[in-house]
Amino acid sequence: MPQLPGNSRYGSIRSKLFLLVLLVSAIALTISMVGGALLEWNKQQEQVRQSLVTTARAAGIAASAALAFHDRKAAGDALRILQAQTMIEAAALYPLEGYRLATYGDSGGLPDNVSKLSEHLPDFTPWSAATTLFQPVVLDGSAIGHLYLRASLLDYRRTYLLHAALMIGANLLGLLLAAGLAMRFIDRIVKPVRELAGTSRQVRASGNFSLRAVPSEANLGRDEISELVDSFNAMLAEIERRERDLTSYHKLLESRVLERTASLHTANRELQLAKEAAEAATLAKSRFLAAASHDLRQPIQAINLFKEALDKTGLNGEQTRISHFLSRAILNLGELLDALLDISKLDTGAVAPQPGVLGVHKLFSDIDAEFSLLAAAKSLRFKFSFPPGATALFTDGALLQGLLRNLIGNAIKYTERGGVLVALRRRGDQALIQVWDTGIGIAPEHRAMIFDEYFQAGNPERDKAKGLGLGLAIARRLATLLNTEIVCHSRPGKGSVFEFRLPLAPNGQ
Amino acid sequence: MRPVKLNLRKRWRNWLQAMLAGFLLGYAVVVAAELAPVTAPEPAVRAALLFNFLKFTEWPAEATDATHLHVCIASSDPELIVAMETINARQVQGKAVLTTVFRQQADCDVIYVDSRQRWNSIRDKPGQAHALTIGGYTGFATDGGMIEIVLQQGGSRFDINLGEAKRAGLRFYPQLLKLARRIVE
Repeated sequence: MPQLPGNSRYGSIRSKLFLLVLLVSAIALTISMVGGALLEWNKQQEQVRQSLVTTARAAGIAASAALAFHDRKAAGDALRILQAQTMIEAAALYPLEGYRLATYGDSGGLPDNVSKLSEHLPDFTPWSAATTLFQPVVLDGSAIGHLYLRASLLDYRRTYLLHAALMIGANLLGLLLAAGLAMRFIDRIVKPVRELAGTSRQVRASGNFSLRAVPSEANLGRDEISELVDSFNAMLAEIERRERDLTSYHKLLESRVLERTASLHTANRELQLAKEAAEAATLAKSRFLAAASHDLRQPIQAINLFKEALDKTGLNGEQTRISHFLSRAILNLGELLDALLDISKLDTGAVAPQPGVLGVHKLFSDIDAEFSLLAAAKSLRFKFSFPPGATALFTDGALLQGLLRNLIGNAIKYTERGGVLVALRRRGDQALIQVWDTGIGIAPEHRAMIFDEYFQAGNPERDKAKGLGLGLAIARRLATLLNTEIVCHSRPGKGSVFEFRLPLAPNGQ
Repeated sequence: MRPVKLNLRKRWRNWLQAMLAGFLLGYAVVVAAELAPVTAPEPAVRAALLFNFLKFTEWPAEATDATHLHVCIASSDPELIVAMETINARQVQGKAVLTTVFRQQADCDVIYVDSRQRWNSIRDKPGQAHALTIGGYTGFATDGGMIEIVLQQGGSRFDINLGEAKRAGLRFYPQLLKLARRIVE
């Protein structure tokens, strides 16, 4: 049988069982020994007592006549039968009067007079060296005297100790035998358990669930251990089955994932192509727009020249009015073309922002110069708010001006009462720029669309004075170029604010 | 004054000596009296001995009365008779002792005889077939008596005529035989 790998982490049940057997046997044998020793002692004591009493009685009978007739010599002779009992050291006969009639053996220690002595049987402990007996001599139902005897217990004690030693020896032998048998039979029980533990260790270490525990041939029949082995094997089989299921499911999932990924890739590619196509289309559109508006300038110039020429020919009142309208129409056309050109320029990426340090003070004074008259014309307040001291932004100044122009122009256009406020606030290392107005406001459902081209939320009569609806579309593109985003908050009837953030110039600039 | 003192001393000495002698004698008597064994009166001794003999004797089963052991005293000594009566009603082998004065034709288990004449007058009479005969005179055993009491200075002894006892169907315990001074077959 190959040696199973040992394991230092777990104790051995073999030694535990062995110790248990040993302990239990030792306890049992000790109890039996002690009990046996006590019983033996009792028995021996009783035996000694009986023997002495019987001997005394015999001596008494033999000496009865001597006692009755107070015959000293005959009494002495009668006591000689005590020789048969070797443990008796000394004895004496006492008639009823109480004096000592005759002695036997070593008379030292024998009482002279027993009138005050009480009858007693031998009573001794394991440590006594000698014991005494004092009993009446009875003849025909009545006492005719007393017999006193003293017996040595040394021999008897020696015998008892010898017996005790033999008993202890026998018990120790029994213990050894029990230990030996225990070892043999413990192995038969422990071996299958160890084999099972070994197999489980192997399974744990290798992760190989196809191993099985082999029912040990040492196993004593169908018991809990064989049940354990069967259960163990069943569990391993179950684990193996589940592993297999798991693996196959895993494979299935993988193939599905691959499928989906492939289809996603395809979709992605299609989208990519579509996007590129769309972008190309937009680019094409913008280029076309740029080219078209550029080309359209010339005819507009021409029309302008012709109009001026017409003016110079001397017009009447009606003709002058028509010419005025003509001018307005040409102007609008020009504005539209400018706006379209701006958009297309921005869309085609022809404009690259060139950031630099820009002083806020200067920026705002330029804007003020540009729009204050326009605001005054509509009786609107036009105010600025910025923190004290020098503040500088780090951004493209031209584009920012364009953006502000757009927002402020819009604000003034859509405000009839109140005013417009341009505010700059520090927010950490950024500046928050806001354009407040007290205009007509924008309804929530329109707020997303106001940045779309041609959308005018507050111009249902399409009043050309309110522009073409391209201003915010341009502003959005400018904001994107400046790497910022315009946020709009508004309440219909109360006003609006358009705000965006820009980086502040680092300190010292 | 020397002759006068001498005379006086001599007389003193004589008187002292006499006194001393007297004291010594008296003392000796007292000591002798103390050392002498206290002896019971003879009749009482005989009665005690007889009673003891009964304890060591075995009668044939059919011979005796079931309840009483008849002890007949063949003596005219009133002291003896009185002494023997002390053992009356005492138990021996489950039977009560009954002491009476010996009469002819009486059924006796034990007969005590105090003299030869008395013995000769009563011996071999009917009704005595199994009686234990105890005698107090010298020669009783040879005369055919079973136990002869011998009172001596050092104590009492007895002789046993075993043959007579066997003929009467009586049996003595061995302890008793051991104590006998003399056993006659």
